[in-house]
Amino acid sequence: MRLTTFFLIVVSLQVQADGFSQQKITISKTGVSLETVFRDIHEQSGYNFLYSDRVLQNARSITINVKNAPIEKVLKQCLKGQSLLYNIIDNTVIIKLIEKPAELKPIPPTVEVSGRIVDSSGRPVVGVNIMVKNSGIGTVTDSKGEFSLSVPGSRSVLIFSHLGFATEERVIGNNTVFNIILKAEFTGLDQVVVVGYGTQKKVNVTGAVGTIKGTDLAQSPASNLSNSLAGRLTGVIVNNRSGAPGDDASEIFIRGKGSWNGSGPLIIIDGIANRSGFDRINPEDIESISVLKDASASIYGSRAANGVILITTKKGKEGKTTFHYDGNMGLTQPTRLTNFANSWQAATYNNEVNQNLYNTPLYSAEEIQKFKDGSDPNLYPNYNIYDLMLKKAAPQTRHSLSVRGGSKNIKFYFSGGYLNEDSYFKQGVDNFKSYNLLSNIDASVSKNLDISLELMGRLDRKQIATQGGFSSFEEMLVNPSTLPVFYSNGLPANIYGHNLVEGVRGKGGITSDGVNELNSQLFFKWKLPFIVNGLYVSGIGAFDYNNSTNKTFANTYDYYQYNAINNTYENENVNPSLGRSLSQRFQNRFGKTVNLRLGFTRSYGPHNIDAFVAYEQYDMNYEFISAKRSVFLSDQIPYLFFGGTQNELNDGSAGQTAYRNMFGRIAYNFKEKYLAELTVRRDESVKFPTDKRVGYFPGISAGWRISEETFIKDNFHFINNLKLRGSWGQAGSDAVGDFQYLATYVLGQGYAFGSQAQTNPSISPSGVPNPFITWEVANNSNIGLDGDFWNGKFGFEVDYFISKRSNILAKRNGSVPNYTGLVLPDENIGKTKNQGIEILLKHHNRISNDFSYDVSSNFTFVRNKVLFRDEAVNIPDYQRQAGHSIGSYLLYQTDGIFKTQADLDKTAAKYPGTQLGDIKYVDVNGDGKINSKDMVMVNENPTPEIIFGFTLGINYKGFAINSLFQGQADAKVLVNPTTRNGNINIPLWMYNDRWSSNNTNGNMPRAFNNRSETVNELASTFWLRNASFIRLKTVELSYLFSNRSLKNLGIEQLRIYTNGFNLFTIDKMQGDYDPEMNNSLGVYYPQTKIYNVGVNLTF
Amino acid sequence: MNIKNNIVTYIAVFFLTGIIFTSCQKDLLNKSPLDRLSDATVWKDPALVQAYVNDQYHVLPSLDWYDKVRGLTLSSACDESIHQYGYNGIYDMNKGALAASTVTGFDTWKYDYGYIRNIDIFFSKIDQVPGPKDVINRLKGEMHFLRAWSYMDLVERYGGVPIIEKPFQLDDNFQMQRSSYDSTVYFIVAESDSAAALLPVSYDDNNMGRATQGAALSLKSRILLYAASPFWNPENNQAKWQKAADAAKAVINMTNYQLYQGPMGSYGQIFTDNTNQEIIFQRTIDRTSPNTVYSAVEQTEGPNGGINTLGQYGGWNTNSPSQNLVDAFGMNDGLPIDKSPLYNAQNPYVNRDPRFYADINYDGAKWWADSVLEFYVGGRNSPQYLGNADHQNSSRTGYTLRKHLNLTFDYQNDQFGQTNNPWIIFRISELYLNYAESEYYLGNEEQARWALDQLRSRPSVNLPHVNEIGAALLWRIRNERQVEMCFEAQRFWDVRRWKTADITENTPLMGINIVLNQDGSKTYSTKTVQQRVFHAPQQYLFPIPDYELQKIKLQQNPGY
Repeated sequence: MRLTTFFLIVVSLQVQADGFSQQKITISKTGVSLETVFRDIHEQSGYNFLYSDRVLQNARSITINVKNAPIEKVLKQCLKGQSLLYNIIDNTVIIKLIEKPAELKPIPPTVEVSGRIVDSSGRPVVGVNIMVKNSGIGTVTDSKGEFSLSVPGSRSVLIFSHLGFATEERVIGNNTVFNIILKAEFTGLDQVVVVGYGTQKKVNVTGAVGTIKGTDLAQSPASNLSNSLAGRLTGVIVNNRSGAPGDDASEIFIRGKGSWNGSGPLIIIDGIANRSGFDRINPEDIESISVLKDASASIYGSRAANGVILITTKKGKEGKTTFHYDGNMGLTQPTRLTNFANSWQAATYNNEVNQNLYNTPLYSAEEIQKFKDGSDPNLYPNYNIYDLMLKKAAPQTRHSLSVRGGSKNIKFYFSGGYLNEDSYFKQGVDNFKSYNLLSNIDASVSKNLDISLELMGRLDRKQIATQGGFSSFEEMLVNPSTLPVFYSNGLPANIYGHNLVEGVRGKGGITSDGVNELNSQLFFKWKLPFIVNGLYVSGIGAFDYNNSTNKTFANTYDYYQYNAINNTYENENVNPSLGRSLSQRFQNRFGKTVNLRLGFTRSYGPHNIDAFVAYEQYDMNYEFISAKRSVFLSDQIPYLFFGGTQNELNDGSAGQTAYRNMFGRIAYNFKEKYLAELTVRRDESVKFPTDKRVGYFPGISAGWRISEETFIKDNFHFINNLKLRGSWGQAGSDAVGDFQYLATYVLGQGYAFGSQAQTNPSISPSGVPNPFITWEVANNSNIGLDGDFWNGKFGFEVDYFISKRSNILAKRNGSVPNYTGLVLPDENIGKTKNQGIEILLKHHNRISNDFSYDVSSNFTFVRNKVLFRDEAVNIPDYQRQAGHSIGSYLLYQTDGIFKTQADLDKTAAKYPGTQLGDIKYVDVNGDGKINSKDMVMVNENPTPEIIFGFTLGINYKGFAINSLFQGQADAKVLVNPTTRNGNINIPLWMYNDRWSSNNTNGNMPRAFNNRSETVNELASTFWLRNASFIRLKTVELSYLFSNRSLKNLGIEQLRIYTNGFNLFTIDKMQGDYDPEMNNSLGVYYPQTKIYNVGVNLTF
Repeated sequence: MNIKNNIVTYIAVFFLTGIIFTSCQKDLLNKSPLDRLSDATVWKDPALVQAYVNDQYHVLPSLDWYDKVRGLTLSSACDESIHQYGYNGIYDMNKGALAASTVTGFDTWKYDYGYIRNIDIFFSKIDQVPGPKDVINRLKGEMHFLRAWSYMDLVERYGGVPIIEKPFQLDDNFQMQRSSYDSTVYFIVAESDSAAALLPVSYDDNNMGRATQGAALSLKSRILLYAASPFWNPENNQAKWQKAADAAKAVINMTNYQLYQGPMGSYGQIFTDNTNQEIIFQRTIDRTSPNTVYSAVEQTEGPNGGINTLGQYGGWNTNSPSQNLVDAFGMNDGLPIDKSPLYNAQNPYVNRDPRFYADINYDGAKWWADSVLEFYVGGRNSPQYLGNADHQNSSRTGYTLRKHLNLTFDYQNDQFGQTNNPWIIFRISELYLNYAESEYYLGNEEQARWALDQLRSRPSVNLPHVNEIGAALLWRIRNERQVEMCFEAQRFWDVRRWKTADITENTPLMGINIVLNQDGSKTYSTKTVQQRVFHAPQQYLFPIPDYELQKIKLQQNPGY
């Protein structure tokens, strides 16, 4: 304001110097500001104008048309209707406001206002909320979009709001009629998603690409990222099989298993393949995850046959630097635990077994009574192993801090994270810690050159008791409950050479695994507008270093044998140093990815082109060394030098691989209405011989945005987006052993010669070579329809797909007789087909500014069918895998158990040795015998055919609830603990329901020796369980504080939350097994249930 | 400003593309495996060929836990013992449930043919290997021997099998037919002869355990004996017996081996001292090797409750000797228990054949560190012992194995915790027994008695001369074999080739029940431990496994 005044004064001084002249004034202008008119007057007449900015602040623009008029007339016309006065003193015109005496200001009268609200295409908007700001007065528009309202005075402000439209505000002023055009607020159309080698507007994507935002993933307290993906996306099958800290990654299949080789997707972290540890990325660092499910994956050619997961980390942002802290603490518990028979039950069971097998019981009635009453805990204990082994809950913590900001030219994102997971074990030493660092810097170093540097570091530290982790759950199955774990005086007992509780406490040694990883990449993009506008060159050099270490120190500990006759406890750890040993292993892996790209992005009127060609290569080598020494005099120095040298061992090896790829893409669209995309990739893999090395993987897709057609635009205004898309593409896989085209020899275990039996080296052939080995190929076809309606209130995505896999690498061990002795290589012989549908429905509603909710549900059905695999010729058709899904079970059919002698007698076909209480097998081929010809290929396997998810999010003021229900159907697992080759403690579900002469209604087999009686152990439908379930995967309740006092403290946002994981599950698994476990013995480290609280701070 | 900016950009871009281009190697894909040897490397280096040959020795059985199915565990598949755990489907065999579809651990079809292919590869390549002729010839000899062994392993189980001498390649026609039993035997004999012609008589100490001429000739003797036996020679073709007799005599005539001459009480050393002169061929175990961690036969076969005073190495008692076997041990007067006046069923462990005390742990026997074994009801090693609720590993029969166990070994202070015990594949006693049996069938009873007397007159056995004739002599020959060769993977095959398995393996497996009376005396009674079923005639042979017949057409053995 002051500056303007000064300017005018200077101008007037100059004018004055020019001398005074009086002229008539001629002006003809429309809709110009007073200032412009004054300037014209000054130029024509020489009059100076004096006023402050404030004076003209509320002046309206004017239309003036005068010819040779005197200045007074011109000024009058200018100031007509404006609350301004003029005063001419000499050749200076002073402009002033008309001052109104304040006390005269009248009480604002009620003003009647009315109007009509339409959208940008002129259609009336019904139900628009019209509120007078800071008052309770309001109304809504009627069916014609019209409204009327009495408002208190002209200073009131009207707020027009409606879901899906940008909110408008108007000051009443002198107006009484408000005809407003509301602008659609729907932002979904502008959403950008990450696709292979680039990004695209979601509406222009022609492939089947699922995306999930980092913020959604952060709702899950699961410590392993892979577990947070479950139920979020269509077509992405996620199964968590173990909850062990550090070993809790889920298996992921995109659109099902398509091959019996590695069926996991290709993981790309920030554009680079072959990086490990994606599941260990801090969810707070993730911007988004995209999943390429169809031809959109073809751009990754090799190894993309199982789909591609693209992870994009957060980058810097221009603007104020913000710090973000997230910290949470949780308690984890097993979702399920299988209970075992207690000591007297186990003794009873063993008696029945021994009576049957050897004609004598093992325990007398007296002894069983002693187990029951606990009168002699040293010899006849009675305990629950879980009480001794497990804590009520185990803690878990995660902290992360990030800084994000930047200027126009340099943007940065830095973060650090820490995770700590403990085990379920009482006094257990099992633990997992992970430390993350991420630095993303993007710099525009000159007008046309951008350079980015990413550094991603991670340290994982996993520690498990040598007799802990998964193996301790196996120990719990194996541990005979008839033997004490601790004697009555607290001394640990000798249970077949060890003590499982002392074991999980790390007394028997500790295994420490470390991963030290540094991923780095330098990216540049150089725009070449001086050659052709839109042309650019870009490149990536990525260097990934991974160092892994393993250290196992096997230790001994005191355990005792109670001698009842002398009443003494003998320590059986007589020569501790002999039991101690240390093994260490170090491995370094170094991977290099280099990528160079020439691209072109430009629009010519309605034609939009985005194209590139690229070269990429990857090579990796690794080396490891390991060493072992035994006989440590003390456990206090767990380093190699301290061990005995008599039996020291060392080992080491190396490996290498490489890929060379060339690829390109042309994406074209016409007015974003007709979309087409073509990709081609040429890959070479060292796994294949020179002449079979090259694979070409094309992809083509097209889309038609029906909603952009005028007949839709004109007639169906509620349709924001409707897109039909289709794709076809090929992708490859080489997930088999290296160098199978060469005849090679591997080092054998050696053979001992000599009276002192010294091991001599030995080598053996690694298999017969296959000189024809080449790529496995997936042919993916997809057709999909996306829609968004009512400005995002409702949306859907539907896909139908067929993926035909051919050339699947498999061994011909079905038809090649064993007498050939051939150790078979993989050959390109298999064929499978995956077919299915995916449906995603979304609903978003905003009831008011304070209250909104989101609901979405997704459903995927995918059926895998083996079309061909090498199978034995002379097997009956019902045993063939062709026609069934990969992993289908070959099982005996069963009809319960033999409960009566009559039934046993009248059944002709019995498995040899069948007795009362044994499983009754069905004589499928009716030959009067039960043998392997009666097995039937059952179209069941642990990978579900149906997966679904349901999310519900509610926001009310600062409160938010977000929940995810997730489940699967059409999955079955085989569980028969007795197939373990060795003693087991019978699970309670088998014990309680076992058939016996006292329990002739029992549905489980009679007591039998699991080590030796095969009759009840055969793989049969008897042991098949339904693994369908629905579970509350995650639920989060949070509150967002955003009041002024926080802001005064410098805190922008404070969010507190509590969330849970796997809180409850509805399923049909019997016997206390988690439905996601997949272990035929029922032995698994149970999945976790997590209760978590946390705080989220932005400042 | 603009110009400077552009220069910076060019330099930067030049630098960056430079880095990337220099990383693009032409030979990027020119990679070979770093952890494996190529075909060309192996077959020009005699040292590597030697290593290749070494690996094929794994086809032999050993005392190692995992190799026993072809060795010690065969005892529980016949009437010598009962298996404590029933591993490898052994109870199915005991119950007569052997079927083509129930593949037990005793099926070696895949296993043997795997080694046969490796050996065939060797023969297809060996002639291109440069090197001293004597070395190459020896290697050939070793491989001929191992191929003979592999086929003998097959023919014992399945009868005649496809004979494969050339390694199949991926695109070959795989269809083969089973050769007749006689042709298979003929092939094995030819292989043994080839081996014997190429192999040395002995090696230096470091190479002990390699195939020798004696080993090859012993193998020939065994297979010819089998081929002449009643099951395979129902017409009692004398020529077959003559061949068997000659083959046995050829080894007996070798000067390298002699019957064990240790004093009375030391008979057990034959099986723990791997340098004793009875041994013709053995499978050694490197106790320091991490691959043989379970090979401590003293643990796997020892009685429960500890093999030393501290009980640190609680035995697992995997194969408990049967009363059936114990009764086969005669008395020290040379008579069987049912004929000898020395035998007292209520004091059965006195005055027995000295080999009994070396082979079997019985109630009252002295064990580690002068402890006394208690198999009586309630005794320390019985299932009913009250001092410990662990009844699992106690003997079901009242006996545990002593043969093969080394009681002089210091477990407490040995860092490997296991012995170097060999698994003896051929020892000279077998050849005498082969000879006796062959000569008997040839009608030369005098020769037969001579051969038996050689064994019985060893100082550690010291039994009277054999004077039986006719059928009694045949019984004696078979009984001598049962006793001398118990727990050496012989009887399982003997009862089959003798065609007596339908009796011996249809007899319940018996144990002893000993009650300690108030006055300290003991009452002995036998008990049935396991009902045994043997389906004749089909079970004289193993079925060709279903997994093979599903792939290719081969003649199945009768009855399956």
